[in-house]
Amino acid sequence: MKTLKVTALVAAALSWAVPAAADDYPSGTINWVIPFGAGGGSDRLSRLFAAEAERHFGGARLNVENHPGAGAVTGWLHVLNQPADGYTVFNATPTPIITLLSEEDAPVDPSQIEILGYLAAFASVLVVREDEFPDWDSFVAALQERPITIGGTNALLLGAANVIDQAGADAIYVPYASTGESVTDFLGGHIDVAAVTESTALTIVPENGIALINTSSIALPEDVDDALGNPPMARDFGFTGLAFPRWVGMHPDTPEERMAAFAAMFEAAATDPEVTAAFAAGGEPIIFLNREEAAADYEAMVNTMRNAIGLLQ
Amino acid sequence: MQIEAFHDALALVFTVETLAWLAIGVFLGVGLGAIPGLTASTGIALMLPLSFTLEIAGALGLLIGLYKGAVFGGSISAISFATPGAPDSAATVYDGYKLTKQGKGRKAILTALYSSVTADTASDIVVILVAPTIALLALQFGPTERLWLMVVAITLLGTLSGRHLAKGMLSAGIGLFLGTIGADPVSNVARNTFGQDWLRDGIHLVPLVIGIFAMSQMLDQGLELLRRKRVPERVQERLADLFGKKSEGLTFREYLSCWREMGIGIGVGTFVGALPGLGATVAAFMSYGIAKQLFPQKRIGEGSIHGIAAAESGNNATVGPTLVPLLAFGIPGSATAALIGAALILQGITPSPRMFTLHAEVIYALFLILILGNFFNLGIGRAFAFVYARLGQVPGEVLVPVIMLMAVIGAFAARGDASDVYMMLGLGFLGFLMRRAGIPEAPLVITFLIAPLLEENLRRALLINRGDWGGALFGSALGIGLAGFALFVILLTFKLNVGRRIAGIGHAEEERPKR
Repeated sequence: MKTLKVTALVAAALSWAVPAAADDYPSGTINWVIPFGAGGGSDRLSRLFAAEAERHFGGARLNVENHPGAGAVTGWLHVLNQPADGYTVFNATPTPIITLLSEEDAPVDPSQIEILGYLAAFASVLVVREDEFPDWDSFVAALQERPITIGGTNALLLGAANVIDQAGADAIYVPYASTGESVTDFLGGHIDVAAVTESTALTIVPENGIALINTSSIALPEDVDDALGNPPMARDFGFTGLAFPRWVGMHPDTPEERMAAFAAMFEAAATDPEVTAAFAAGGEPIIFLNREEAAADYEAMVNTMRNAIGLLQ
Repeated sequence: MQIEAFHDALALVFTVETLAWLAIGVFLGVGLGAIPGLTASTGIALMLPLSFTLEIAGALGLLIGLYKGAVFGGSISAISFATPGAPDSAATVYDGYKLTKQGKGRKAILTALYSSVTADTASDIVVILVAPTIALLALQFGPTERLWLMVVAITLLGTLSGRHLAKGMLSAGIGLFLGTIGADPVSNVARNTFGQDWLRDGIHLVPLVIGIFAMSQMLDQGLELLRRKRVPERVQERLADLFGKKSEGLTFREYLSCWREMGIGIGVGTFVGALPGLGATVAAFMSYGIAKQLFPQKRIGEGSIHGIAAAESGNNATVGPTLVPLLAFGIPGSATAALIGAALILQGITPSPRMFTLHAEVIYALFLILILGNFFNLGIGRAFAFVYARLGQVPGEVLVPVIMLMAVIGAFAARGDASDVYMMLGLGFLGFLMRRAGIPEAPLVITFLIAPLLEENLRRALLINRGDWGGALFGSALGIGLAGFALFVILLTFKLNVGRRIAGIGHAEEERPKR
């Protein structure tokens, strides 16, 4: 009898709690988790988004939380350890995916997240000296004749390796901890090619090099593309490109109605002209992909990265 | 020089608003820098949103002022509490804290301030006059040359291993091992992590420096406190000396006597600052090591103002040159330069070689702010240093726990990662055991700092030369020259050591009573 009473009370409590929570979502605070420390690019953009876009989240407060560590996997594990209630959002880059794909015994699989959209995406642009490689064809011909060194951070080298492999060629990939070091070595003539983001490419082109190819699957903003001399994209040669998104996701067990509600609010925020203007002024324009587009691109990206990582090792 | 652009720059900089933001930046910088764990780049990141709302000159004043203030501020807690505010000031602990314990803390802080400002100003002038030349010289340093530069640094710093070579080597070995923990720099695969995911990013420099320098000393002093309560009170009395009328300041003659050390710091800091990826900590240790090597008679490491002058001028001389790659090529050479670059982008100015033609007035304004910032640093740093150091005037029994608490907060504040606190505590205990065993801690910190840089560059050189060791090590004239210089330093050190021993024997013979 006592057990029945307790069960009835719990059932009553749940029947009250669940619909109320679903109706009220979101209320209170949404924790916006990034897997990097304070002060970096992701932190800066997340805080900018929280400040500019909070009004689109139904009165909820966006609270940026830094959970750095373990190659950006600590933040991912933190999200999976939180209640799947739609109040913890994960905003990351390809860094934790690269970490997980590099590990033999990874603590989590890259599929253990529900992708709800892309906020931005950066590309790996190959910058070369024009007198050495005036165009893509001459570059591929040179790759087949002699060893060519390409320097960049691990993520950007993956973009390069992905298209070069599809061109049936190979190169020597030289990993760097920072773009500053790889660009210095490119300008000093110590490496042949620099794999850089489009914003770094803008500082090199046209004085010290040309943009040979945009290895991304996503087109550059028009003004950036023009400033870089409209480099060809991977798809222009029939290749599958690789973009490096700032993706947003949730615990995969989160109720569907909450994920749908969040995705809609996120879309409204990311396409708000005031928000996009703030990001453009910040040097990283919003490149928004909605839930369906982002989920499809994310799956393709993980598969492409899985193959490309083998090319670097 | 474009006269019109320079006039525009003067109008931008010499406004009440810009000068006020510069003063606020320096004030915040010294305060943040003196708090362990909060580095210049953390401070700039925190202030970046505020800088968006300011005019370009005000924003640059705030951020550059903060940068300059923070690099000096780190020395205050290094001298007062043996807890470097940032890794840049780790080399300052050796002499600074010893001087505090001798009741000469005020002299130590003033030495740090004056040598920081002198070196900062001199390196800024060098940057303004020959930034493109420095930048072009830095471009000659590829992986091969950088790897030999690291070898030169290790040979120069060999003197920090103390009298017992074996103990110094053991310490260096521990540092080398700790430096290999984390993701492999080439394959990105975790190594030496013992299956612990939280070790994948390796050991962070801030908890290591705080643990090895501060926590180990406090454990040592805490034990002494338990044994006989007088010891920390003695240190507290010494800290109180900072404010007493009788406390010893720094005479102009003493300041001038450090000109050689400051010269070394300016030279090393200016060049190392212009090379991406090395930074102020490497510059401070290199400058300190060279001064110790060249001037053994100055007893650097035993509580000498010359040691402080070498380390502090070395780290502050990197401030201006860090911006050289950003200004010359648009490349941020450090995290701080990247944040200043981000501030410029937010003001609608993309850092690139085109800046000199498109926004010449901004470049000149930046130069003016670099120079003016040093005067603000001198005034504000002098006042602030003593105010901050008053925190040390706590009762003897509270002093040790307060510093331990600061160490815990500092280890956590750097990245907001609780595992850094455990790491700091573990390293503090390791440092304590090393102190008890007479093993010097400097080789551990130096190899931890330099060995990963050396490995990265060696492996890059090998990749570029397709595994050919000859090409990787001796592929350029500059690389061969640096290798020769490293060999010269080793031979010189050996000769000096042998000479000193012979002199020591001779001296002992003279002192022996004649029969």
